[in-house]
Amino acid sequence: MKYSEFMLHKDKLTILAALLLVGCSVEPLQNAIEGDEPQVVESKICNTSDDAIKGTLIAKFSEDAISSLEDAASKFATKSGEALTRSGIESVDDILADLDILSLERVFPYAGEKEAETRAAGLHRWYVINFSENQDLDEAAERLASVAEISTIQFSTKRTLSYDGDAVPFTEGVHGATRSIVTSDFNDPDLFWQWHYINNADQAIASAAVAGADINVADAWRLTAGNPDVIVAIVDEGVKYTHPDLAANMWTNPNPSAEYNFEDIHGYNFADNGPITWGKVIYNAAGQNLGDKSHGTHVAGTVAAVNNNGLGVAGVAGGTGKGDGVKLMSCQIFSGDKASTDLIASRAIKYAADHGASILQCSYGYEGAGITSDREYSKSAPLEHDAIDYFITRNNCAAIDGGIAVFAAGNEGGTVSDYPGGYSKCVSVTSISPDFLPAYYTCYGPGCNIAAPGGETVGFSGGEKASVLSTLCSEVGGSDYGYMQGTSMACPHVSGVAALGLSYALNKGKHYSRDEFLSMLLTSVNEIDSRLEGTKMTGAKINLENYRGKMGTGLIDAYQLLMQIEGTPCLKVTTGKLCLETLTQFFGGSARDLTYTGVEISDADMQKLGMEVTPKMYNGQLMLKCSKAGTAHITVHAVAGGVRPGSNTIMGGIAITKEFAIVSREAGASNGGWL
Amino acid sequence: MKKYLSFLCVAVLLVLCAGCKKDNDKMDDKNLVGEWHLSTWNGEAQTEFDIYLEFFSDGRCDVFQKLQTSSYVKLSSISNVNGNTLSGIYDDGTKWSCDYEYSLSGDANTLTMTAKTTSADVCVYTRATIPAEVRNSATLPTKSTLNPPTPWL
Repeated sequence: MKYSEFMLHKDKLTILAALLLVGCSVEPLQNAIEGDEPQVVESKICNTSDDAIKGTLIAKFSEDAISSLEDAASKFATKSGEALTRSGIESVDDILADLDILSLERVFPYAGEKEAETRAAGLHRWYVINFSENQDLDEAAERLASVAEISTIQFSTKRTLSYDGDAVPFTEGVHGATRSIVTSDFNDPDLFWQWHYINNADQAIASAAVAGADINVADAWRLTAGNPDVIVAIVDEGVKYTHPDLAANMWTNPNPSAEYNFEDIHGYNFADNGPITWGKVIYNAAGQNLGDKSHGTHVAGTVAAVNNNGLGVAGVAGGTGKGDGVKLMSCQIFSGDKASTDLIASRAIKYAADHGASILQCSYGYEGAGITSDREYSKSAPLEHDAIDYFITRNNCAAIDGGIAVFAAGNEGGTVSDYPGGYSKCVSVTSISPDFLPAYYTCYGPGCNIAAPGGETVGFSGGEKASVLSTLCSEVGGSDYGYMQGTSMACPHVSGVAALGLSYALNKGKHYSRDEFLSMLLTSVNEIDSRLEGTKMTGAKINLENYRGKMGTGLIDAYQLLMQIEGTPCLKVTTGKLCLETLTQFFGGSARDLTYTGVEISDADMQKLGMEVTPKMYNGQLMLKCSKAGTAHITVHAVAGGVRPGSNTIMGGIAITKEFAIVSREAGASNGGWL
Repeated sequence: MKKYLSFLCVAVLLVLCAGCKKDNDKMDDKNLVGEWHLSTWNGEAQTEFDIYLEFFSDGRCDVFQKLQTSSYVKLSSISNVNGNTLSGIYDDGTKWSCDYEYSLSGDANTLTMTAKTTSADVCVYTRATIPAEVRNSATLPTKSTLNPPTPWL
């Protein structure tokens, strides 16, 4: 065949060759499909039964299967007292008939006016299947996963509270010498002992206390102390809603619903499916209380114990005593000695989202579960992942598009945040003590975003007074007030400050996107890293250098957040000079130590200010030179917590962005004056 | 003689007092006295920052500025008029950054201050009452709130 002939037949030859290749590959392809079948089943089962609750599986059905399921449910609903045990899908029901099934129900009950949003988010596709406790869950999971109509099978795994040790009842002590005199206008008698709000380095709290190792809330309270239109969901033990220092700030449901047996008055007990409880004390043979710990009530008090009522303690966003505190919704996921699960937590989070909460206060997590990326988290806990995503995309507060989910980083001293806090859409909170140093137990490192006071009950000269003072349930420890330590206690400080920020934004008529508000929250900080030298010995010995750059952006500062809401300052630079600017007023006290990921300025603005070189970050400072006077806008990107933003594959911080004006001017006094 | 000595003492005292009197303890241009609001800077209205000036008859000049801060800051100074040039010194001893050539127009309701700097810097102020919320919320400057620029070279 000549070359020209070959070229004429080239296309035919190519097709023939392709057919031969396909023919050769048919059998292996078939084998691959057959071989993949078990893998498909396995990939649908998203976690293991290692730490699972007996008798429960969670299944996500395909959208196509939902109509059959809902038809079956409506038929069974007509027979009173009977639980749904069949799906109406033949392939599924064949398996269910073989298994010892007790009930099949939606994870998230019918949501009334929120049902459309529930469906849009796909949450109506999640079902919980309850079996006899004797049922082999692994076998059930494998059989159900083999059905095409089921896309995901999840074991319901346990959740733990992020606190460290029991509560210590409050006893009045003698004030010590102080090194600072910051005061509040509130008359709560025990506010003096709440160093975590106002730390004057009183020696009775700790001889090592450092003035200013607090959330700097005294000045913030002069601007706002809350707003009842902001609702904070306390996802925790039940909150004692009758507590004299909490009652006035409890959220009250205007429309309790049939789905919750009309018992969801101040929230709901998702652990027991009933009214909120808080006083189940259960002792073991060693006299240790395995039951309720007052944890939820303590956390709630930090967020919004009623201020200025002449009683007990203060709360970060507890108002001024005139009914103007933020509202606390109790979403109970722990009860007595009963383990909580991601199923229970997910229901609580969904309830909070559907009932008006804009801040999710979560001092719980997967302790030491070894999850190291968002992908692993979404794979192993897809139900809770979906519930959190649903929460943060609800618009429940006029000041913000979306919700803020705040989690404790964890107390096992790990070098990454526990999940869900480590999830890059959640804020993970580390813990410091009155010495302005990390608490010995705090988790730190990738996934951690910001620090707050969590204190320590042992190791300081003041004993328990170096931990966090808040409200307790007298039914548990005999006292209405007491001390606890943990990232659990640090976490509600951040939730409270976020609530204070939203309150101030509402008062000022301001509105933010979720990213904008998160950027402000995470940059309202005082820096910690310069203090991290040598070792510290309290509850345990820690090497402080290990914590540098790993506690998040810094120690949260309430006043700084309100100032950011007040308005964005300008960056004034001198025309004609190469300037290096520390961006403290935009990125907080740790501005020099943050990781910056980019600077943006338009060509038009560069031209306007006569910039020949694009501004860039250099050693934590903005380097720029303007040859003309004028005003322009610049955007700076950074990471809140660590050196890189978290992603599906890597644990990291939260990407934050600040846009502000540059004012280039030759005139302007060295003291900052305009003239 | 005694009467003469008393007269002399009084005269010396008056002379000494006169010697202590500063040149700028009164405003030489009464038309400057009053409250002013920055309307344009280099021909552009500014939305990113805000400046009010208040000149008093004794030469004092208060600046209310929201520039490098989220809220207003008040800086007090003593101004001096020399011909059509304004200069001043802040209460903390810092001089105004430069002298300003000024002019009044529109029935003395518009004040134009041109900085004597190499780059263009023309501020046009209009007579306007400083809002009570600005006066009441203004704080005194601190080193951290003003964050003066730090030249690299």
